Amino acid sequence: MNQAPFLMTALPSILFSPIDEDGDPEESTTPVSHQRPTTIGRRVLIVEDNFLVSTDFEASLVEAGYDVVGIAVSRDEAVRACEMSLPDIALVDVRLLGDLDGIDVAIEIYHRFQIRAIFVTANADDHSRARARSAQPLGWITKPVSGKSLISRLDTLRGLLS
Amino acid sequence: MSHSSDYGVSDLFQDPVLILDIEGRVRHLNRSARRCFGDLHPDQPFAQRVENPNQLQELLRRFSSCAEPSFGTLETKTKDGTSRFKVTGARLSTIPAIAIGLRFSPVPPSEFTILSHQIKALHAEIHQHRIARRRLEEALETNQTLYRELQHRVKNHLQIVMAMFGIARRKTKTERERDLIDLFERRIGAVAEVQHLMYAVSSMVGVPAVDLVNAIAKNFRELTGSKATIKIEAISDEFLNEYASPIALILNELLSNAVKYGIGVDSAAIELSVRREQEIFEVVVQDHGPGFAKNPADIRGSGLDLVRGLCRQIGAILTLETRGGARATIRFKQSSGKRVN
Repeated sequence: MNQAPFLMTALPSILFSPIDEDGDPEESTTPVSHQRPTTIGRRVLIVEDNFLVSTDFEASLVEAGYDVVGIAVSRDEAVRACEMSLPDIALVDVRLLGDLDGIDVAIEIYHRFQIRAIFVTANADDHSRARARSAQPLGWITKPVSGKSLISRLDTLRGLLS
Repeated sequence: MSHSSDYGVSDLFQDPVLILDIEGRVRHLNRSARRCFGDLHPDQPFAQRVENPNQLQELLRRFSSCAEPSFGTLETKTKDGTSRFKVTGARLSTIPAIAIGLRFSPVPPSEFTILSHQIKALHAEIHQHRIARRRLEEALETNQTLYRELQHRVKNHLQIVMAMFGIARRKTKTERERDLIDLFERRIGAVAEVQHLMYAVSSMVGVPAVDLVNAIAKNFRELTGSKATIKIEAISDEFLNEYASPIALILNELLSNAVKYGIGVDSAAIELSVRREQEIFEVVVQDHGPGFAKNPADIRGSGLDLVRGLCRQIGAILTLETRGGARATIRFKQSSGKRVN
């Protein structure tokens, strides 16, 4: 099949395309890079289950020159996207679709892929921060945040990777 | 068996007196006993009128062994309820059958008894307090969860609004449309900063002035991309919640004006101060540009219209003057009346 899997695209237009029901990542013709780019922190996975919010974040990131490797709405999609695209950073909301939340996702992708999360959430309380400690998050951005503010803070936080 | 008339002398006692056989069946009772215990028929077991029949049996066994009086206590059911009596008893005769006399003296409540009752009442009260406290703790926890959930929803809804602004901006075709969306986005951002502060600080009535002005300055810089130097000087007092949003919006507009009409986005130097003299707060935004138009009536613009309206809302006095640049001062007193005296 020729259509790229939903999670693998960074183009805003594809967000409006139907999800490939048979979207087996192995069948993708899109080349998958497992090498970190020289510009550290430019390849970003968005883990966010609100359509409008993820759309705005993705467009803001692309405009600012970031490479959005995908948008995941649940733990499974996030892990699959990490396996395939190995992003530098994951922007993670705490509340997600499904039983596992963003903190579970951040812990898993850090331990399995050494991918650091930046939490973008309205839920940045002490309990959440304590739970997330083992994910070694790069930082917390509190919602609401505009696209411009998101980029400003991401520009700062990704500096911690180097 | 002796006739009851043999014991008629017992009527001389003011205390209740009972004559029982060794089995505890009634042989005789004096008038006082009748008044106290009600009618008791001959041969009726007195055990029916005591709280603890075994205790009665033990007393009868002890009294029957000696003609000399001995003592004990017994809780009995009287006409008025249950009472505790001191009982003086002795064997009266053995022929033709053992008869035992019992004289009941009311036991006055001792200090120990009063204390016991008080302790019992205290325990009951403590128990009730514990139940009430547990219920209050549960209610508090529920309310805190609801409060957190409400804050979470408000923030997420503001996030959706901001996302819609972002999406709309990308569909604009002119600079003017983009500027308009940017303006509204900054205003929503200012309100969002206040919302965040209200949730973050422990006070339920206000937000620290210094935190508010810093948050608004940060929001402004991030949303405009401005590299303007904003020098902040603020007191540690709180802005009451009902004042915080209007002040945040006023500061946002004054900062926008300072950058727009001052000396440029990147090189502007803006001073933002919050002071208080007695009950009057004074907020000043000063730039070093050309200043305001000479005629105050000529100072127009949607931003300043908003500032004027918000000042009116909180009962503040707005002063616009040219003193080394544009200087906007608002003075207000925080009170439920929202008016400067």
